[in-house]
Amino acid sequence: MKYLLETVTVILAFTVGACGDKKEEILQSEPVSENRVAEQSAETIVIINDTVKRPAENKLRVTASVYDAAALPLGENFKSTEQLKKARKIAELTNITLSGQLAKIDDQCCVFATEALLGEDFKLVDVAAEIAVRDMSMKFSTTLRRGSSAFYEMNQSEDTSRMYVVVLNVEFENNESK
Amino acid sequence: MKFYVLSLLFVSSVLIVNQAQAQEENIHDDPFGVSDEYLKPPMPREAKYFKGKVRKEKNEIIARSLLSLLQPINKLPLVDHAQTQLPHTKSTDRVYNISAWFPNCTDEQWVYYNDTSNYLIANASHRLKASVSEYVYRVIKKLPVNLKLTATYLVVDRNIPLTIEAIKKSQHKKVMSFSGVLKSGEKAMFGKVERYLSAEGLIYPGAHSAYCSLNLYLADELEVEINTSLQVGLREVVQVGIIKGNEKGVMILNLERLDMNGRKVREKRVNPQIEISNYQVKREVISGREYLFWRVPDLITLLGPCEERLVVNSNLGVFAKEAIIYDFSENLELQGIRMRKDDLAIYDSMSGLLVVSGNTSVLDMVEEISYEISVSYGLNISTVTNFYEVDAHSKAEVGNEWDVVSILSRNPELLGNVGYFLGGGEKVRHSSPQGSVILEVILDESGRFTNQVYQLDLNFLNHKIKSKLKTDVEYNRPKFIELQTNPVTRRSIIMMILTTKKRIFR
Repeated sequence: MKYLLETVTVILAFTVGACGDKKEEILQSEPVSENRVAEQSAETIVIINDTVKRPAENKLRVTASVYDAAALPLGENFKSTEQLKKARKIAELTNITLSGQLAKIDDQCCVFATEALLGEDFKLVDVAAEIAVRDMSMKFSTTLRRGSSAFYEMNQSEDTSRMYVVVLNVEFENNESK
Repeated sequence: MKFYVLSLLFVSSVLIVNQAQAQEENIHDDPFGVSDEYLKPPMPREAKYFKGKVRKEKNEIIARSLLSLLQPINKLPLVDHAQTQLPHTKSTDRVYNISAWFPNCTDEQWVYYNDTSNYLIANASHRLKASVSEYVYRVIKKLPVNLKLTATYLVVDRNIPLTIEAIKKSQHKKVMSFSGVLKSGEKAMFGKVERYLSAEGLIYPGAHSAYCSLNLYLADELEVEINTSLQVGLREVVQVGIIKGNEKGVMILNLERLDMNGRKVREKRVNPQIEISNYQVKREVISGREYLFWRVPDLITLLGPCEERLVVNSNLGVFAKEAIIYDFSENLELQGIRMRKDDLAIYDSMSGLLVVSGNTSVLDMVEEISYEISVSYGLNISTVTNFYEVDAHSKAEVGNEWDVVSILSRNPELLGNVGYFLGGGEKVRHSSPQGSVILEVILDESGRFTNQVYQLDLNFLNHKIKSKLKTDVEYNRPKFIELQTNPVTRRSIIMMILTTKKRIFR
C-alpha cells in the first residue's frame, strides 16, 4: 500500500510538472498581437543609446511671432513667412517650459499662455495657446511637427484691410535632442 | 488495482490541464475591457497573392515619405549605412532596422526607417512592397489631422452672384476675416468679448469633411451661427445673416487639410481604369461573367471594422498600379451575403472601388447595400428668406396663393432678407439691429422637402415682423407665406423662402 501511494505521488508530481510546462506552452503558442511582436523585437535587440530622455523631460521653446500685415486678396491667406516680408513684426513672444507644463507671460503689453506636450515619437507636439496683443486675442489648440510653423490670422477691428498674422513654432530648447 | 491507479492518474491530469487553461483565460479576461485596437499604432500586415496566383518575385529598392511610425523606435537596431548609399539618406542620418515588423520580409529583403529624413526605405519583392505601401497608407491615416478653416464675412449688393470672382469685382464691405488651424473637438476663439469668432470642428473619420460650429458675434452689429458639415477642399460661399434693404450678408468658408509640417495635403486618389463616379454602381458582363463595380470612398470605415486581408495587386485590370487592394469576401459575408468559392470581391482603398463577381443574387444584395450607404452622407441646407411688402389681395382674391407673378404685379418693396446655412436637423440663430430669427430645419424622408420652423422677431424699416411658423418647403422652389398686414399702409408682408441643398461627402 505504501509503495503504491509513493508510486502514485511520483507519477502525479511528474504529471503536474508536465501540465505546468503545458501551461507555459499554451501561453506562448497563442497568436501574438501586432504590438507584442514589436515589443518582443525591441526587447531582444541590443540597446544602442541608453541615454534617451522621456518626452516629459524635454524642454520646449514655443514662439509666437505677431505681424501687422496688409490683407491678402479675397480667397487667399498667409501660408509662409515669405508672404510676411513686407509685414511689420509687432511682437515676438516666447515660452520655455517642460513638455506638458503650463507657461504664461502676462504683462501690460501682451498675454502669451501655452501648454505644449511632446509626443512619444519626439516629433509631434500638441500645443494649446492663448495670445493677446493690442486689440487682438486668440485661443486655439493644434498638433504640429516640432520645427514646423502654424499660421493664424484675423483682421484688425479698426481696419479690415489690415490683418494680424501669428506664426506659431515649437522646437526643443537649445536644440536639446532626445 | 492497476485500473484504479490509471483512472486516478487520468482524472488528475484532466483536472490539472483544465486548471491551467482556466488560468490562461483569466490572464486575458478583462470584463471591463474595451477594445483598444484604435489606440494601437498600426503594424504591418502580411500580403498574399489573390486566390493563389503567384508572380515571380523580384526585389527593388523603394522609398516612402513617412513623418512618424507613431511609436518609439529608439531601442531598435541602428543601421550602419556608411558604406551603403540609401535613397533620401545622408551619412549622419539615424536609420533604424524595422525588418522584423514585416511578415513578408524574408531572405535578402529589408525595411529601414530613416528617422532624420523621415523616409521608409525597403529592398522589397511584390508582396513586401504591397505590405510596405499598405502600412505607410494606414500610418498616414492615423497621423493627427489638422484642418485649416478660413472664414470671411462680407456685405455685398443682393444682386451679386455668390462666387468669389463676382464678389471680388463688386463693391463689398469686409466685416470679419479669420484663418487658423483647428484641432478636432477643441474650440478656438478669435477676438474679444464684444467682437469674436468662435469655431469648433469635429473631423469625420477619413478626414474628408468636418462638422463645424461657428459663431460670429459683433456687439450691436450682428450675430451669425453656422452649424453644418464642410467638405475639405470645397469652398462654400453662402448668404447668412440679417440684412436690411438691398444688401446681403455673405460668408465665405474654406476647409483645408494640413499635414504635420503645416503643408496642404492633396488627397491622392488614383483613378481606376473603369469610368465610374463616387457612389455610382455599374454592372457589366466581361468575358461572359457579370461584374458589379461600386465606387465608395472609405467603404471599410462605413461597413465597420473587419480584418482586412491584404492582397498583392496582381494587375487585375481595373485597378491602378499603386492601388492597395483587399480581399473583401469576408466583409461581405458579415453583411449577410454568402460568397461562394469562385466568387470575387476586391476593394481598392486608393480609388474606393469595389469589384464583385458572383451570381445574380450576390450582386443584387451588394447593390442593395449601396442604396443604404448612399443616403448616409450629410446634406447642407442653404435657405434665403426675403421679406416684401406688397399690395394686399382684393376681397375677391382673398385666399389665393402668392406666387412670383402676383408679388411682382403688386408693387413689391424689399424690406430685408435673412440667409441661413446649416445641416439637416440643426438649429441656428441670427441677430442684428434689425432683430433676431431662429430657424430649425428637419429633413423630410422623401428627400424633396424640408420641414422648417421659424421664430421671427424683426424690424425692417419700421416694419415689425413677429411670427412663429412651421412650413414644408420644397427644394429649389420658392415658397411664399403671407405673415401679416401692415396696420399703417394696409399692405401685406410676404416672406419668400428659397431652399437649396448640397451633399457633403463624409
